[in-house]
Amino acid sequence: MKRGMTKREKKEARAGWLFISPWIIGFTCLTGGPLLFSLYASFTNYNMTSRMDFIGLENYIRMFVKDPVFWKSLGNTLYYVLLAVPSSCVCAIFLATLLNRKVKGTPVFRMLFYLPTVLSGVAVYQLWIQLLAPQSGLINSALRLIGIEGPSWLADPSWTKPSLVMMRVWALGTSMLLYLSSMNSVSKDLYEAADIDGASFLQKFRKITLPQISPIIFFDIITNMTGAFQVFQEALVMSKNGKGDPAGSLLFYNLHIYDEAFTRYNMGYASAMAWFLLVIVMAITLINLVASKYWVHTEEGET
Amino acid sequence: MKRKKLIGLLLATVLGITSLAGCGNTNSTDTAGSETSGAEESAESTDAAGTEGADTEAAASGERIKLEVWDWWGDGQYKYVIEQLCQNFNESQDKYEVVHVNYPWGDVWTKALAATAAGNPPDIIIQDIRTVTHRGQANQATDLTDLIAQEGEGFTDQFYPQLMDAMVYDGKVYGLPYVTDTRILYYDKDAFAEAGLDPEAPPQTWDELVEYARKLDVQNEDGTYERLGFYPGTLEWNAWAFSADGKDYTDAEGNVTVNTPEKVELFENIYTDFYEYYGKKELDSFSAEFGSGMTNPFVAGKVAMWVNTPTEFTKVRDFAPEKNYGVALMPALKEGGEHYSWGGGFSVEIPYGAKDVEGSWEFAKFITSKESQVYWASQVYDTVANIEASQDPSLTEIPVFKAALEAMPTTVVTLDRLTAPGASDIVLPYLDEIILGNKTPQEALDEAQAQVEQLVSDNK
Repeated sequence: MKRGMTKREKKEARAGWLFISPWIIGFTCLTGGPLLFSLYASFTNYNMTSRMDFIGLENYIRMFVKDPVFWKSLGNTLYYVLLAVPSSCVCAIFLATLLNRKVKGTPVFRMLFYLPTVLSGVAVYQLWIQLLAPQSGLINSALRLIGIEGPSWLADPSWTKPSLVMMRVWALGTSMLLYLSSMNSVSKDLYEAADIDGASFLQKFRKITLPQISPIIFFDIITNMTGAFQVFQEALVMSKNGKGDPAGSLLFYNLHIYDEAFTRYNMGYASAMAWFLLVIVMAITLINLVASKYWVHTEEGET
Repeated sequence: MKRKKLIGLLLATVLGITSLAGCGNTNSTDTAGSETSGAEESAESTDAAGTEGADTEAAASGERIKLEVWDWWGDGQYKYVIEQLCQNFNESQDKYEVVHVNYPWGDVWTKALAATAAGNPPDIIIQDIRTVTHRGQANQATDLTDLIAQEGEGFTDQFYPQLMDAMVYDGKVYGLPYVTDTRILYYDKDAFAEAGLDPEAPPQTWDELVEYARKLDVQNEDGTYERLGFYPGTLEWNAWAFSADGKDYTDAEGNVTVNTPEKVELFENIYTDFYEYYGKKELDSFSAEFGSGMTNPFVAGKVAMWVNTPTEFTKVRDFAPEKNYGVALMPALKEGGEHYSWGGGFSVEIPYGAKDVEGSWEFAKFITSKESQVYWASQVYDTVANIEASQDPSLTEIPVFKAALEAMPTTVVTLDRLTAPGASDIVLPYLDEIILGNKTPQEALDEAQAQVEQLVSDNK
């Protein structure tokens, strides 16, 4: 480890830094300052216009002890993450496996499945509100064809989060592409050798494909989880009052932050909440990182 | 190598989450964008006005000081009317030129907040009447007390007192009330006749409301409803709670009135007479199909009675001009009781740091004047805050206006008090639990009462 870098390694390192430089520059010049500012603000009663007094840990105490909906919003968000991340991972891998088959017309299907990712924003949510309409919505109409009376999705607190998860899974194009490309890069020799040994499709999938794409699974889980923790717009648009209706079932962490910051002007408290979320996400990421040693396969055989 | 990889991954995560920890920052970058554009605009306007602050010079040279009024009236009749008012103002004097700038509903206040924090606010803004005190306390709105004093005795008497009260924080006035609203009962006279009810006798009490509703129901063979006699979901649950006894959740002294016997009784009625009787799912499915325009349920005859704003009548007018309907006060909880109703509204404020308070004040006075308010009301049918305007004979000819005016004395305008910020957001999920049948009204409202009491004691 202590040996000096070879010329090639130096060159690669330089290229590496160059590649991530947009993010590093953006981070240090743009986001870094406000980030530190919000850390300081989290210890004050900052309201953007008239006050910014240091109040110590009061915001954090309020968060854990006093705020009646803090735990609810955190619970809702965790529920959503636990449901959304695994289901979109499994679905993305499943789709990628199907699309990896050399069948006629796969490019068309690839495009079709990627399409939802390109669409975004409020238009999509409006579309889903219509799809999820209990009587005339496409989803319940389809369920009725097979004899199931679907729930009233967005009006029933126990179905609102699954509705949003469904919407998220529908737009998994990016993950799917990642899996697809990593599956494509798995060495054909491995499959050939497995074929010679008479391995079944499932065996090949489990013993070759999954371990080979495990670094991508890991990456996908981390980014997906980070994204899922930030669920916000969907709830703002799709809950009837924009505040997490019905029965507070769509009151996600970020929606609560937004409400505190911009409708009640408690910017200091909102910053404290944001930082606590960072701590949670970091902790989960670290756990993942440690756990990954046991299931993520690395090419060099270092693990 | 391994360590390097670890660091790389950690760095990647940090980068991934930055946008999250900096939630406020994401927004501030976003608003930074709008600020820059705002700065450009104001730069332009100062250019246009010649030298800064040289009012007389500007007036003399024919150049006017450009002021921006921010609101969300971006289309239809509202846009037309506000632009007309700006034009009227611009023609009435030669010192200022007011331009109407609209942002989407909700966004406008966030943008204005960021702009105010950055010291480059709009000149006039239309704001939520419930939260004027918050902006007064946080120094986001200009104190208008002295300007009002200059107008002479009785200036504020031209507005409804409950609305004017909402403008005051710590003895100082931070806005002028603009419009308010109330909720009234609409009923379908033809459906009444068809069901054997007297079309000229709308229900006066809850008991009558339920009785009539049952007679007006029309059920399909498969058990679904072709027409509902009454659908309670058009009014937010909080508003129902306020209309039970005409009381907000808290008052100025910090008393909490969430679990009053009247509120409990009203929710028992709503739950047993409607959500239990028809089934929540049935009502949800029914209401999920509600549309606007031709498919507006009252217009389309899917609902025979409902509670809505006076403005709602324009939809009937536009999409079913032939419809034979009547309006009445909201039913009283009990025989002989008051017909309480609920309303919100908007205020005209001058954000703190506005560049030309004089000019902004002139415009604020202009659009809250009797003449402008009569024009506003006659075009968009809002209940205006100016008492004389709201009682103008040309307006009271319109039946909904008459009903709205009658409802005003018993309409409670709720506030988001500094002693209980967000109280209604805290109570709402408990009301949902009642409707879902998870909690009895007494249980739910008792729990909500305790939560709000806690909130009040935390904010004392």
